[in-house]
Amino acid sequence: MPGRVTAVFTGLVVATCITWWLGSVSSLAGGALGLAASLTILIAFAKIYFIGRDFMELSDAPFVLRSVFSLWVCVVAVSAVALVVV
Amino acid sequence: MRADCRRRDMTHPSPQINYELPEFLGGADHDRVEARPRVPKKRPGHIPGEAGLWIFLLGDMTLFAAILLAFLWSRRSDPLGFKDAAHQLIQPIGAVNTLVLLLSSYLVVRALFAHRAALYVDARRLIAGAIGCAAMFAGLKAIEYYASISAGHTPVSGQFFNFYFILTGLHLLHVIVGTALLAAWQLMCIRRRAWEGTQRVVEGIASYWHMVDLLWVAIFALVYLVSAE
Repeated sequence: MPGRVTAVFTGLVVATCITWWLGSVSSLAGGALGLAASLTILIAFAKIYFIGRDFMELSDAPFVLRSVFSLWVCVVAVSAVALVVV
Repeated sequence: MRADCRRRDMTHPSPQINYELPEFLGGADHDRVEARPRVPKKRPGHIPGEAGLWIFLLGDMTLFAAILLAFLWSRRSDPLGFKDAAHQLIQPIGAVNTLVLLLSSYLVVRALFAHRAALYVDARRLIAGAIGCAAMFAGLKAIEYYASISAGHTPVSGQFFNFYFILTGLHLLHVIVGTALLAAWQLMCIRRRAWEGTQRVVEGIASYWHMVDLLWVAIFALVYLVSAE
């Protein structure tokens, strides 16, 4: 669906700008409690999920493939947040 | 006739033609669309490309994830050192490269739609755009490497730059391989190879390129942004 893909692409561009802005603001503020870092990671992995779902067309893939991809995104995102915050 | 329709249904997702987009972005030329009334149904449970390819893609993604998590683990022992080192990177180049790869991925999706609809000229233009994005990415990366090495930051200048060069170097290698695959796809479109015969290969190439994109999204977030915070 070209319309949805265009919407997802626009969302990904906006999310990239937000994380970049978040990174520069947090860097100036001294990185308060890793909140900005956690948000940056979560937004980045949400972007990755949508790239898989809509660009790689995993939304139409068999349940197992969709689940493995989603599991990869969740495990890496949670591990990254844990390593940054804890 | 019936057999032909059935074969079309098996070729999975096919786009609706977008009348709003310009032709060079995968939008449709109205005359040609009318001459090609083709609206295959979406088939749930379709694996993009070969099933075996996904073992490779997920394995590659896991290798990168392991290196990224090892990077974050090392950062815990020297957060200030990593922060200082991350500030030596040219963050705007990393951000622009993220946008460039996202655009290339979008063009690849549109090229896939165009190829499915047998719009070979549109597909060629879109693939050429994606290859242009890949060249821009590599050019910006070369500028970044030149600036880093000129400032004395080499792969042996500490843990941060060790990880930085390993991650970005491996990723650049993937960009080069992906560009070669996109060029091969371009050749298929020039030869007007039908979707039915090339579906798995083309979907595999597109999936590989999207993996290159998503890996960079993770590298940019963790190496450029999180480390600098």
